[in-house]
Amino acid sequence: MRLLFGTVFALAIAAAIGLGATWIALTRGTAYGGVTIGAWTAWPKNGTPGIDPYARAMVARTGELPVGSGDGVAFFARTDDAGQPLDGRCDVLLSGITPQARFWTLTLYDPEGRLVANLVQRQGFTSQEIIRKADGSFDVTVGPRARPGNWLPTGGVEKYLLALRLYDTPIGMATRTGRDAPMPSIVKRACL
Amino acid sequence: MPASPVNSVIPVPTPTPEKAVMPFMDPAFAVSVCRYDLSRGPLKFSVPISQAYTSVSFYTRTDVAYYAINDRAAGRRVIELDLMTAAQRAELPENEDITAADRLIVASPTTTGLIMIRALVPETGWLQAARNALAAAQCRPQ
Repeated sequence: MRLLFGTVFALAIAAAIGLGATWIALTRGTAYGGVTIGAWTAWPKNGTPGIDPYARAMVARTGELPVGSGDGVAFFARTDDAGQPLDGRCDVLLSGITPQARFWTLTLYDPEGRLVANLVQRQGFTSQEIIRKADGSFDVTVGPRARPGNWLPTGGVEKYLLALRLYDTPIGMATRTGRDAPMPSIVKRACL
Repeated sequence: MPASPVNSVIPVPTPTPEKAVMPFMDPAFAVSVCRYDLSRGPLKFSVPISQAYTSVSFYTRTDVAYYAINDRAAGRRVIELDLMTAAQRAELPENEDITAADRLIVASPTTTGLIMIRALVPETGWLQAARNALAAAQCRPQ
């Protein structure tokens, strides 16, 4: 009898750990199979039939459609370069250049993938709209209050993520380092 | 995605903070979709390229991206292709005098699926031109 209870108890704990770990993997996301450069991570395989089962489950859960491999690559950042979660009440400075691409877009989302309402109704920038410096690099201030230059409003949300999508780009599954794919730095500035 | 008619091109509303058909949609694009069903035969697909950037992405019934092509890869003013199942492709008459270079054939792993057509709107003034290009897309049985 004790053996039976012991076995059932052990199985229950194993099931709880297994299911719990799966749930965490699906909701937090894993970097498995991802290309990470600074605070940015992309999963180029998600746009191909080679998408791995965890990524498939995550994509099915959110209901999004991954960018097809022949279309482009999407990089996501949920933290700044120091690893702190992106907070819409602070000013965050994106600075630098992007990897080679015919076009790119930068979009701000809440953690569920919704666009964030703000007074100027700007949810992102395209590579065409960005004001650049003489050497082609750019600065974008992502924050709650208007700033001169490229300002991406956060609407004051507590948590957000950034999507930098490169279209018609050689960046893909073979990309390994920041040398192949220079991504902008993400540095937190002052908070409200 | 809400249910929509099959084998025809339907525009998808641009996402807003209040309403979006799917999460993580890129708001800088005008989007149309064609929900396809190949059970009655192959489909012919075409879309004129827009001024900035146009792409066509193919998803299986379970939303796996299996093919995507953009305007530069297509190399013409119109992206056109035939979409069919592997079985239908095997049935194509062999004596047709059409080489692979003339005709792009995309084989769908599943009988039903989704084609997503996207035209980039680099600045808001280009929105109508992008929508017009998408409105001329065709997705119908041969």
